[in-house]
Amino acid sequence: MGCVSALGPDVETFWGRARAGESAIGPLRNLDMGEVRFQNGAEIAGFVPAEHFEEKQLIPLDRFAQLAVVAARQAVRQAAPGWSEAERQQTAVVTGSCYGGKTSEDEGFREIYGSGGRRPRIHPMTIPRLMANAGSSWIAMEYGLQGPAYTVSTACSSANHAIGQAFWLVRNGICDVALTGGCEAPFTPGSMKAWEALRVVSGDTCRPFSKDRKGMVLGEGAAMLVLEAEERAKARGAEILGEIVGFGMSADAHHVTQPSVEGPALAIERALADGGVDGGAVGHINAHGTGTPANDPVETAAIRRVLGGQADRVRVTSTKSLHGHTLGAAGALEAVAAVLTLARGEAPPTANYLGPDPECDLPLILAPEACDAEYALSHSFAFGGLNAVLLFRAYRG
Amino acid sequence: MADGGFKRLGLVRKGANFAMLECMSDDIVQRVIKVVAEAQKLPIEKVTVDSTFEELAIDSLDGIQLLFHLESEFDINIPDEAARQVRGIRELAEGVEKLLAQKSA
Repeated sequence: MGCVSALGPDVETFWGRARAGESAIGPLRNLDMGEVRFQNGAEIAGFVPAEHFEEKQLIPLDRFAQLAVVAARQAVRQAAPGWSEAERQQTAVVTGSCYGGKTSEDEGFREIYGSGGRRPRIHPMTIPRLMANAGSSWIAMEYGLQGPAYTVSTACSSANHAIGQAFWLVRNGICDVALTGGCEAPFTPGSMKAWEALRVVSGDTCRPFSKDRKGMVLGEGAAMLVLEAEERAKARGAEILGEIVGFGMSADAHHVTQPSVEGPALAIERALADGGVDGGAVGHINAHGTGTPANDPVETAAIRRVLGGQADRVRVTSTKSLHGHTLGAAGALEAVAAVLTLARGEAPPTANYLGPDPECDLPLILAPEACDAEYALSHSFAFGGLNAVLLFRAYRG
Repeated sequence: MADGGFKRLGLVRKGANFAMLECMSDDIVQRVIKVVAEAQKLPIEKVTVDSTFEELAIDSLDGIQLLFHLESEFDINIPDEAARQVRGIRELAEGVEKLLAQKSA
């Protein structure tokens, strides 16, 4: 696994801060936020592209694709997949991204529409930079991977959809190995104004499942995972961090921004059914938990509907309070958190909690705690009502 | 990493030769060379009027960016058709000169 996020430049830094419940949300420094009503976000501090890429390599790379490649390199270094040439031809790359290269697009369009009489010009690499599949393309080129490669764009569920499909490609024997995850760099003036207008972003911080929560807080980052069949990993003596055992998808078919209970509940049920696991066995949930007034009670009801009595015992957290809502990368960062929660037996708390909301009466993790769960769910419920849920299992050999 | 990707696009074609304009302005040639050297991160002495794109390892994506920078430098519009013909610095400078002449005509 590899990741770069507001919590830090790599998996160990991410985990060190996440397990301690340290929130990386703060004032956005790399962007002039002008009079935007919210000023906070989860920004990656100290990411210097030139430390990762040659000057010329950077020309066609938007920030979101830079993050994707950096996370993929970490994942490959850790997993050391030991590809044969034939396996490289069969390795899949499936990434999630909500926005694609919004930074480049926004910059270019500002030039066009705001050029006021001057001859408007746009950088010739704008198209290669902004295409949402850039992350997958550059990862495939980096390692010469020629299997199925594509990008899923389902807003906040993008990475979970991507990881789930990569998981199915490997489980069904279509690919030997898959590199999968999500990448997002949403901080541009235009998109911040758009989020402001939607009135779902909190003016202070992200307080999932808490009373007086005011909304989500945006974040940037990328996380990538190397997936392979258990036999292959064992045969080559790989360091196995965890197991994906189930994936479920659904659509609310209800409303573009208002969540429903039924859609998420279906996705959770389907992930459990896909893994052949009973809801009673789920010990941990990395919730979608955006901290918006609308999401958290609906997610609570969905969890209660599927898990029944187990919903009073399952330990729930939302790490979005730590690394922000990274949209198309959210499910990937949360997959890293869920895998490490099971592997290391400790669970990251939900930060910024002010007190209970009776409509969000889940057993929340509010301080660092031990975790002996065997199974963990990780939820992503996107705007547009598209839901994707992953089911992880602690790998016990 | 990036180079493999660039080369695979392979839009740079070889071959065609173009008649040299007799009165090419040295000022234009020098400005073209400067733009090329800066865009390609090459020491300026490596770029001469006789350099070909192949020698300078300028691939198709580089070429597109060169056109972008040249349009800025000379405040001209370089049409796609004209751009496709160019294989080296001399042709680049000739093309720029032609477009500048059209502009002032």
